[in-house]
Amino acid sequence: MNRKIFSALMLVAWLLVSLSVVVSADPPDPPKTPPGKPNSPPGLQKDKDSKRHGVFGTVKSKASSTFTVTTKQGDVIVAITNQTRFHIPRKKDATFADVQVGDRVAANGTPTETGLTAKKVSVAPGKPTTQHRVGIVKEYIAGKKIVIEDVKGGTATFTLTAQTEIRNPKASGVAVGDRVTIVSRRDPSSEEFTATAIVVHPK
Amino acid sequence: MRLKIFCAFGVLIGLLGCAPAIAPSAPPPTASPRATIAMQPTIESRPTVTPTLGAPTARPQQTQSLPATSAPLTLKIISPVDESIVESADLVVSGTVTLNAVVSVNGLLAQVDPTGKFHIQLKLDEGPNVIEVVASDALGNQVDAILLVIYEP
Repeated sequence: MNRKIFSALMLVAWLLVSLSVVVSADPPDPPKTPPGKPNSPPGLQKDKDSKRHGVFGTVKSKASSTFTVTTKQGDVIVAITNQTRFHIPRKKDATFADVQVGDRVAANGTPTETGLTAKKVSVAPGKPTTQHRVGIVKEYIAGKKIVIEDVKGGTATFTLTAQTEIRNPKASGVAVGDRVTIVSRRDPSSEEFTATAIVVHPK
Repeated sequence: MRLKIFCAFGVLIGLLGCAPAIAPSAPPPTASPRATIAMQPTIESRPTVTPTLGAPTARPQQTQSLPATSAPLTLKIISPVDESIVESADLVVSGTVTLNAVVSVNGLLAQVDPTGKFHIQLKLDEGPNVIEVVASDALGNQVDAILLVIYEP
């Protein structure tokens, strides 16, 4: 009789264990979109935590207060508000009017059902705004300007500032006759080239 | 005898109960819906060769001769991934370049080691940022890569 009771208890225990395993193995329900929060369109990119949103792609078309960006995942509509800021290299105080079809852009902001309401939009330049020029120093006034002659015989003048970095392995500054690479950016307001760095090459 | 049958029946029921528990792990995992919006894999830089200066023999009267051409100028970006979203304002830009090349990132000189690896730390603005990486050799040949990165704290 005791053996029967023991066996029955074992069976019940076995069934309970099996049942608990079945329940724990059930796949979890898919996450539901919180009420009021729209589903993000496929072209909207998120970070790994899905907390940050952005759009990268090429401007396909423009309307009065929106533009469509072709991303690798599809088209995304980016809405513009009065608060949207624009950053375009070589362009001071850029506006939405300066964004052109075909531009490569990045935008961040608040996700919508069709895309994003942009907080900031940046346009990647077709060519870099930074230039490297190699030549022989013909004139050098520390902190003011440097004139070089390139291999084609042309001369180029660059404005120097206190922030211009000079890199010389001999730590002897810059002298006329040195061969240098000048890293410069064009100032959009003055159209002058300002040297951000001068690299003196060994002789 | 009855006891043995009873126990065997119990074991059978127990095994049947376990079967569905094992089944869900058998099929291969399906793609997560997030995969369509996940950040893309690393994109290599798209350097464009822009020869800004001519051959060194163009000006033989130069007081200082320019070095002979060695390996073609190349630039490869390792970090950051183009078109990525980052949560830190401090961003390290790194990559590899032809030996003895000069590398600038947004106009700032990067440190290039003797093996051609370079790196520089940038401070990003909030929102989208344009990162221009330019490399040049002693002849004035130039290659570049333009990256877009969004910083959201």
